[in-house]
Amino acid sequence: MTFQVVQNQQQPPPKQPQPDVREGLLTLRDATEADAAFVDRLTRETMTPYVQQTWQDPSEVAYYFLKNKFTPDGTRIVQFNGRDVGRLTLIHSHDEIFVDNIHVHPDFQGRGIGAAVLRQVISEARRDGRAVRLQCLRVNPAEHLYRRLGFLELDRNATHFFLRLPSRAPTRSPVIRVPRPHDPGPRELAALHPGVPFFILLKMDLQRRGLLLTPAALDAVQDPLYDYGRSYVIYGQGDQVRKNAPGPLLLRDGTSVLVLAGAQYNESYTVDYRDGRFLLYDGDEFIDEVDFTPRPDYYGKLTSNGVPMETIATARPQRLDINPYRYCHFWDGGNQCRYCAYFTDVKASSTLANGKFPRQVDPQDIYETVREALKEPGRFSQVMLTSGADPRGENTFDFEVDRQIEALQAIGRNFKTRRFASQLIGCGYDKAQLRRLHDETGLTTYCPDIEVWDPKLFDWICPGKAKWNGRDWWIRSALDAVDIFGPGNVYTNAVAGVEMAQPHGFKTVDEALASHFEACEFFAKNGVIYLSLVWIPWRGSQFHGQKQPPLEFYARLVKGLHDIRKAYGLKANNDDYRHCGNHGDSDLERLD
Amino acid sequence: MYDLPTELLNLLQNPKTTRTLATSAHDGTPDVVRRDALAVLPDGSLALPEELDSSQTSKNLVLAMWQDRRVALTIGNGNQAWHVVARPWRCVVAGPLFKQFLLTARAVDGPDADIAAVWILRPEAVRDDSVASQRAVELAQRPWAGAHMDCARFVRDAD
Repeated sequence: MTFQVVQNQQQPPPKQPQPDVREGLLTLRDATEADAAFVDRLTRETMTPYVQQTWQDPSEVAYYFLKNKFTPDGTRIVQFNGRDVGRLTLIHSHDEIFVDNIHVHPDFQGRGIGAAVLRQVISEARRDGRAVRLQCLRVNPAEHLYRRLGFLELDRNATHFFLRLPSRAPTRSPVIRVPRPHDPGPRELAALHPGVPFFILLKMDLQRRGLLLTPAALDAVQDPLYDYGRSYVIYGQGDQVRKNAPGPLLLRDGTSVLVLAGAQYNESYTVDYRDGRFLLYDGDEFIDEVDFTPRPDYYGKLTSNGVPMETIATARPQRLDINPYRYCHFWDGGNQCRYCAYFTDVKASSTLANGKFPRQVDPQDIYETVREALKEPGRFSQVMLTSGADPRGENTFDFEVDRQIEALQAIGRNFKTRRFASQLIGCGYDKAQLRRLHDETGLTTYCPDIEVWDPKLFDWICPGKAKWNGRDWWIRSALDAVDIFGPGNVYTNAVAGVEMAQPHGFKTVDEALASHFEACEFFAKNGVIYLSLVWIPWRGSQFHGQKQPPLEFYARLVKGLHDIRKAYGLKANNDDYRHCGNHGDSDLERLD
Repeated sequence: MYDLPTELLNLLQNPKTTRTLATSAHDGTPDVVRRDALAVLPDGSLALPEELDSSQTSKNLVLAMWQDRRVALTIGNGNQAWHVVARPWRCVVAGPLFKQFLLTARAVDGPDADIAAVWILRPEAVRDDSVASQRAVELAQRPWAGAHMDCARFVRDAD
């Protein structure tokens, strides 16, 4: 057998497969977007029998395929004699290679192709002393192959085996290990940047890297005090289970941190539970005691339409988040923002809700949920509305605006006062639409997110926003809104770090920071609060697998943004530490 | 965490006890406020509800937590007085403890009373700050220093 790795080689015309891998040419090429249909079809053809044997619930089956949907990052196409016959998806970390997916088309199984591919992975891992890890469905006979190759069972649950091939000292020529460039963590950066406290740096690093729960922590968050509802939770060694998930993480200074228990991050922190306390670790290093946001009282209750209230509004420590329209039309033509995994998240939520997750939420359900939430003393001090973009209507976004007005009016029926503490994160509306939102509802703040300041990068990263109706329109909308809602009551968010996505993004941190500071200065001059949030290359987004900037970028960014806004007398009260939890720069305002 | 003495715990149960908190700002400016809602929790830590995030006290508590500084409390009633040095340990913004303090505030000050956070303070040092106690200490350590010689305990009646 000859084995070689080639880069994006043009696919030659199909040939008849050889009977055995030893008699053919086995190659790997990097996958591209054009492979999506092949890979998704392959996944279904190879896995459907095992997935259906494992789960009877169709939503579980659907979720399996959703989670294993094709992304080009880390994926290679296995070619046998020039024909695409399989896929291999790997996730690399400094101490192991995780085989996320390996599939060989049923017509080519039993020829040694899977074993040959895995041997190549093992060989690569052993060259630099890394382990190889994978998980497989218990009903999948490939388990025998893995064990034959030397994988050992780490653990098992009702559905999966968790297998690992331990690392071994290099057996070939000695490998000179080049130390990875050191990326300073929160403690080191707090010393280097005295204006940015450890807690804020830790929060941003948690947002970047995410967290895993140990089995003990996962058990502890099943307590009714923490239970935020059924979800898919990543825990232990990165295994997935369907259990009750906790709400936002809380640091000791009260800062909330939005990290998703069901999302796969890189080199995550770990939360353990011992002696009645949640303990945060980075590897083996103890970091601090943490907590999770307590479950609000309205969770678990139903509206008069029989809808679970937690599907209408989710709770942050002091804020109700409502999504009146759970669909983003930017995704229809592939115009979604390239960092966005919103639509896949919505699909996952819909699956969890067993299909009882309509695209449009009934305003009566919104009214009743807010009414119930307000019964809990002191729990909420703000309502935030957001939804997927909908450019339809006589004027662009008319449908979306109508829907937001309906939802805001439904919320407003709960209050005696004309206005109530509220934020709408929406698209860039025209002046007449903004006037309607202001005059017909109790809305207090509006936030059309610019996402990316640089004009060329805006067009590349946010094609939907570029199409409807372009960067200048979105900026104009924010400035027009200041005339209506007042200075300091209009916000815009930037997905900080995404402007360094390659191949078109900035190459240096300094260029990226300069762009943010220019944007913040421009908006601040015009009474708009420009906030940053940490970019995460979500699985399911087009940027999955891209490299995030180092934590030091975020340290410099939040200090710079905070200083600019402070100079203009702007304070982001609506996005502070207990309401939003997404912005290190507004957390710094606690001392102002 | 320092275990508070029983006398101090008893004092904290008395609603007539006066409680003050001393903090300092970034530039060292001291700030002292009366906080009669200060309470002791079952684990021996102290809980301090703060009405406003924007108060100087709240800002100084955040600063103390971020810079690992300490705050001081005085707790007194009649002849009794205690001085406590504490570390701001946690800022609670939701949950059962928060709710309990909010409801207490509303029971006392009416239904519009509000709080922004409950600060958990961990005592690290405690001193009996009553004059009698301090005098006893001084007498034991420096019996002849400081006291005025015309005090009744010194001056003999005239022959």
